[in-house]
Amino acid sequence: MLVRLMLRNTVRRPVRLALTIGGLAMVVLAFGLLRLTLDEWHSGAKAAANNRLITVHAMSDSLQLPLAYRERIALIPGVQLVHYGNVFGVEYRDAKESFGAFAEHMGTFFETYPEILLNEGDRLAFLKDRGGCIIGWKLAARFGWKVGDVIPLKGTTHPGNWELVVRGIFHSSNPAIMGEGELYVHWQFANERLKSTAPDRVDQVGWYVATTAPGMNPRNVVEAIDATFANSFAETRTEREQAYIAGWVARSGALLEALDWLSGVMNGIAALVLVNALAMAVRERTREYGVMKTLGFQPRHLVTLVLGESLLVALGGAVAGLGLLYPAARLYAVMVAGGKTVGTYEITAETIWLCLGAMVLVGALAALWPAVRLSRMTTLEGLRHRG
Amino acid sequence: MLWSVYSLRNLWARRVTTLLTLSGLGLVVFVFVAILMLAHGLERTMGRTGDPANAILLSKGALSEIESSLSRDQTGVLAAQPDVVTLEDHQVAAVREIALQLTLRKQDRGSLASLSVRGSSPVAFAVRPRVRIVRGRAWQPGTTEVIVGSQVARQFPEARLAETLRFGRREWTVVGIFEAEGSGFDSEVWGDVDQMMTTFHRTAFSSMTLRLADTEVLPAFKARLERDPRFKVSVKREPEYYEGKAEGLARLIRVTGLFLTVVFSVGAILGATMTMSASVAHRTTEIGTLRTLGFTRGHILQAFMLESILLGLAGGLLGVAGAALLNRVTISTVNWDTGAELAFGFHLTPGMVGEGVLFAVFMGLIGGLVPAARAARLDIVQALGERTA
Repeated sequence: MLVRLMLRNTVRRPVRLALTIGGLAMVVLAFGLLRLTLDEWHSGAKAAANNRLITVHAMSDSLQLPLAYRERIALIPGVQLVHYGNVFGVEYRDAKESFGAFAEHMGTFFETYPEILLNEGDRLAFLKDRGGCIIGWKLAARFGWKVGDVIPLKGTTHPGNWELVVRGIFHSSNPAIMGEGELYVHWQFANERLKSTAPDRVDQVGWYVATTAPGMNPRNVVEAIDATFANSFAETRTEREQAYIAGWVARSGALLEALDWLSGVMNGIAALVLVNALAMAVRERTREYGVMKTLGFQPRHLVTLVLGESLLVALGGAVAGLGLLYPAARLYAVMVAGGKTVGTYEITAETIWLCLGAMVLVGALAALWPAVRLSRMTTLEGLRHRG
Repeated sequence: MLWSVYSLRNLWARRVTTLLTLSGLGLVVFVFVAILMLAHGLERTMGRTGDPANAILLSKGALSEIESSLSRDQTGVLAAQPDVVTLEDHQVAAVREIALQLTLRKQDRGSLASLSVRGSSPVAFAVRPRVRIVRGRAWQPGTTEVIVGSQVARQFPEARLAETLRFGRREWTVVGIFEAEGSGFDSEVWGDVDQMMTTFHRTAFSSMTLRLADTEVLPAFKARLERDPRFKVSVKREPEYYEGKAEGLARLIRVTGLFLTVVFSVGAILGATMTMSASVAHRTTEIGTLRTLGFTRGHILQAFMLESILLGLAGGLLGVAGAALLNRVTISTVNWDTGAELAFGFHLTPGMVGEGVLFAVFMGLIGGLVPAARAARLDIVQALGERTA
């Protein structure tokens, strides 16, 4: 009985209902977009592997470490494998068309990053060709590159013109941690060229990635690596991959906080829209509620009616907003990338639950004031009310 | 006049609904203006970094100072070019610098931050006349004294005046705080170039900034130097170089702002429509009475449109007033294009006040259109016959 009344009340004014749901949907859409942006930032840290440790120069991520550290890290108990790499700054055609590129030690690369999915033939061809490169499928799609193509690039960190043969196009089993829009070359090849173009930068490494042996406590290894190089001319800062990525995300803390805060404001707006609609409905129906009271309906029945209607509308808004979220997120991702590699912006179950949960809360809060007013109202007041 | 009083009174008579709608509109305008302010603040900070009469020289191909390296010999020849200003003490207005980023731990929250450090020489103040020391003094050449930008002093407690920074296994005393008119330099630490090169085992400079005779000579100067095969440099106008260094951040702010504004404005228009529809429905009898008294359909339309425009106007003013509270608030975050910490603020301009209010009025106008038209089309007899809708 109550449920039927609730439903009838909800759809009594179809135009207003549509407007309210539309308004709420917009808010949910905006809220969802912000949550997706925040998720995108935090996804890297969440997906990080637990057994990889990153070692960089203690003073700055942009300073280089000597290649000679490799042997010393490898001797530390608990370290299974030591990998190293560098940024390989390049530009294709002009600065606007740049992308992430890295020079990695290929002897350890695939073992360190099992996330990379590349077919065996391409992998062997790449390992054999020191002047070759592999690219993520997103990068390949962006410029229409195929296996066997020669890519002419201009070096920024590694001066000179580079002509690299695409030996393989890879996918990633975990795009949050290993992107699919980057290019990888042999560190040895890049280093060789530096001998003639920038001799003072030869045999230097941007970062070491140490894989810890199973069963070892990574924390002890972290401390052991940094202790090895303490008081040397290039001290190191070692962190677990997860902490390293989280550290970078935290550097944008102020911006993330602003977004977080903004997504809170959105729920405020949603509540306003809903309160407004409910207040109107309740005011119009005050006389009816008076009549219902004379018929024996208790205040709690009336409160249930209002609360139910509020929740129904809020959920309607949430569903409509989530429906719009998918295409909007695609568009947003493309626009933020601005012609560069597009992020994933994947809508997870968590996002959906968060949106639904927020709207249920908003629905309950919005019903509060009208419900309180209704339960305080005497039958006589209700009957006297002139709409 | 009469109509505006009527519309105002109507808004007042239904003040709870009016207030809720106003708050909704106000919040939308607040978000809209706040994002405009932030985008403008960032542009202003980057665009003001450096002087339009200055040229910055980087090694060919390098996109940033971090990637660039210029040898001592090279910079000597480059500084001796005509067009470069000679100062009163017969020194050439050319400053050779190295740029570095240092990882520091922010004390308040323990997170890591990268600080831009610039090894420079006193001639930098002649090349960039807008940079002034506001407290303390400049560093003594040949020592490990440093001066810090006003934003650095604010963000990092260990970088206050007379404190000591520790990096490169040496101690650096802060002897002065400088201000650069809210530009990106305010987020940097400056010190002696030779000391820093020794500390960081560098033999080459990162960049050289030259002050040219006037802003017009730069294109010719650039063409001459870039074409000369001896130099292998790229030449950029100083502010243009820095402006390009925050594109990622600027794009995120602008696109997010655009999306939120579009999405929100649709929501707000729906909200305004809802309020105005209810207002019309509520006053059906009243409209009938007015029509009987001789007011035309046009009058009714006008009255309701005016009401919704007033609603928009008030919401707009509310939102702009809220956003104005953010003016001059600065946020400090990492600039992804350089990896270094950058402080920039919300900055309100008179144009934005106008845009915010106009935007709100527009939302009110669109929102009120359908309900007002419906009110105007009501049939007198029907309107009078209806009790409450």
